[in-house]
Amino acid sequence: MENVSLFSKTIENIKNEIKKDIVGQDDVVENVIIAIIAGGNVLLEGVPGVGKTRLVRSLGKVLSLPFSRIQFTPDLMPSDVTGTNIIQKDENGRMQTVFQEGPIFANLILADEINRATPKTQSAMLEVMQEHKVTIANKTYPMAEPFFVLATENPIEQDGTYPLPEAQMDRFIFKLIMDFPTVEELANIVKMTQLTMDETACAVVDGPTILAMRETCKDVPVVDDVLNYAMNLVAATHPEIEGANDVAKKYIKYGASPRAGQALITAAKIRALMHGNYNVSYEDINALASPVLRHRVKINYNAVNDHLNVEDVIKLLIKEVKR
Amino acid sequence: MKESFNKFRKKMLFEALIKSSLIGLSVALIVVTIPKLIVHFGKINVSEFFDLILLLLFNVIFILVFGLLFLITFPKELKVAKRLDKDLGLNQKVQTMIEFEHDDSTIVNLQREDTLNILSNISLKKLGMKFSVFFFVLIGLACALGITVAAVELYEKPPVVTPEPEEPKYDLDNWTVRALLDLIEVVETSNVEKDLKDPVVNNLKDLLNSLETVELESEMKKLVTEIIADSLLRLDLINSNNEVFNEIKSSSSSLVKDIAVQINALNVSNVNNCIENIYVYLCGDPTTTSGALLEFDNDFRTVIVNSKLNKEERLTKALLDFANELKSLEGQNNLSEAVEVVISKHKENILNILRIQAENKLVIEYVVSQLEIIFGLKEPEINDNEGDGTENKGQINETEPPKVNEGEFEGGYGTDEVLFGSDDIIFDIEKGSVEYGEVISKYYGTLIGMFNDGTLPEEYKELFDKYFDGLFGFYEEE
Repeated sequence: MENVSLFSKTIENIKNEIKKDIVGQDDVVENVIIAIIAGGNVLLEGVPGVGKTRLVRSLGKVLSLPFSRIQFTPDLMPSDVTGTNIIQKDENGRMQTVFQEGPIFANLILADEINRATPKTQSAMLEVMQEHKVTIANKTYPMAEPFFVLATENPIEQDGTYPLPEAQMDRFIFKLIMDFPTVEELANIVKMTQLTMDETACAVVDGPTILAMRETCKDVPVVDDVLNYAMNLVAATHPEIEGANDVAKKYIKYGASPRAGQALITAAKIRALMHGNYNVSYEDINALASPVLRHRVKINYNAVNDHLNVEDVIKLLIKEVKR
Repeated sequence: MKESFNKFRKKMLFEALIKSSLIGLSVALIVVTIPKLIVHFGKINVSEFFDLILLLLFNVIFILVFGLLFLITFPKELKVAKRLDKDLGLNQKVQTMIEFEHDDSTIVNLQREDTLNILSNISLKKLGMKFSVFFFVLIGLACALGITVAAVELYEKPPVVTPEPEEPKYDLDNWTVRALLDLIEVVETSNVEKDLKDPVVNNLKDLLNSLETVELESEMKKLVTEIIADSLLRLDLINSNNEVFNEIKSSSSSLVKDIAVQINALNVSNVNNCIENIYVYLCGDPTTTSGALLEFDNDFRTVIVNSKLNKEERLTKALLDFANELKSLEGQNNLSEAVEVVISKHKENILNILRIQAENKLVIEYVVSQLEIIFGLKEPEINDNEGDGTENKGQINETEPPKVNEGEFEGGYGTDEVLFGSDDIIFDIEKGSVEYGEVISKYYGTLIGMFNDGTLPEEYKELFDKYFDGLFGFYEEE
């Protein structure tokens, strides 16, 4: 009982604190929090300067979790991310091999412009994201929990980039879009940063609390109708299955994996509690459908011809799938 | 604990009852009104139990539809939960509460508590009854059909009262009066015996008088029928020829049988011939007269004496006197001459009596036929020479009343030129009173037709041929 009542309050505190450093982007903040609690990673898309790094840094402060930023460049090596063994003299002067931890060894990681790294480096990063551990020279180094990676993709500079393969994209629980702030929000940003550029948010929760919240969310009940609706939504993204709906057949090249279903339900439970509800509803599923599916569904040229993006197609699917 | 949920469930139960009842009633009404309307507008004759059958059908359909619908719409908990979530915007709270009813985890308990709390704060009125468009269409259709049937039933055309056919009134016209007057005159001027004439004339006069007062045709016909019956009865009482015939026909003597037949037919000429034959029989051979006389007495007088005939009745008396006087001749000489005298003496008496009776019969039969024609008891005869019959209305039977013919008859079996009894007057259904000779060919033709088409057996044809051959004069005595 205490965990549940604490949950909403904690979430509220987190949001309030982050608002001190991040203006607007409420959906992004909420979904990032959901992703952290769910134990997933987020792919964040946004133009430079919208606050991606600030968000993660602020989160680190609020969650009392060490934060690390990795700027991916084409020349970044996997060992630059994970760390490597180095030879070092010990106190006795003898040469010994010591593992030098890479920047990945933190709780909150900002993998900036991950699409700029080579596939080899990307795969090293993604492996850590998936398994929460690093294996070097047959030795495994686990990541501290909660472990959260917020990877970014620069939508503007595509030259010299290595877009993440779809299979890798599937490992991100959400893909979030940080839009350019409104004029009002921009004004507020300027006002705020004129005072100080540093994050002013305070710690309100720690790692174990996040883990406890994660456990609490697992017990949130989901009725069969809602569960089936979520699964139908995921299945509806596949044009090749029997009985596929017309939207999928017309606009989708390939659909989301079963991880999307897992992500949807896990995130929905957290969202329900976050909003003071003790059960998952259709509204939760619909609200999380885009973040969960947008990076997992590939639209085809028909959609492009009809001036539809993946968001539009997902909205059409939501309308099509019956409750 | 679940009262807040159950109150909504009860409301939905009530809604299900109403829906099931109304739909059941509507379907039942539609099903029974359609055949009712078809029967009414199609003017189809149905059994007297049709309405009862429809009523039973209505009840059966209502029960079935109501039962089925109620089963389908029965508000089970999960159904209620989903309805509440949808209608009250509760985001699957109630459904979760119901589906996880038996889950005892912390968060589920919290969820349950939270949901019940929310439900208890929601007014029952917020959950409105839902009726689909189809529901209203069905109700509307049922009402429309029901009203139509009710209107059709209530508006009953006034029953077509078929008036009882009026008895045709008796329509007195001058022709009837004249015809009756003519008939009365015929009877009055006829030689019918007074004892018969007077009552018949009186009957006819009464009939004439009653023409003014009788209103209905049926009354008139009844009156006429009674007069006819009375006249024929009186004729039977006066004319004894039939009785005599019945009594003496049993004689073993062919002479007596012949005379009996001719007496019955009131054929005066033939009776005369028969008497002549008796003379021939008795006196043909003087040597056998005595024996013949004795034998004849036995066959004739004895039969009359032993019969039930009233011996004082004039014809019987005349015959008996004749027979007695013949008997008295026994043992006399010159029997032949004596017989001739007796025969001469009694023959006229007998023939006169027969003439009178024949006159009676002919006139009464004439009266009967005329009455039948005048008052429509029979179709009037159509006289071919005088148009289609309607013109003859004022000329009913212009022919003279029948007269007894005698003397002109050639007697015996016919010759080549003369038909046997051809001048006898008979009543023909088409021609009325005519001479037999005028219609005999027609009768013969009809008879031949009946033999040809098998109506009459072939075995009788020879007999009838002989008969008609005799009538036509082709028969030769063997």
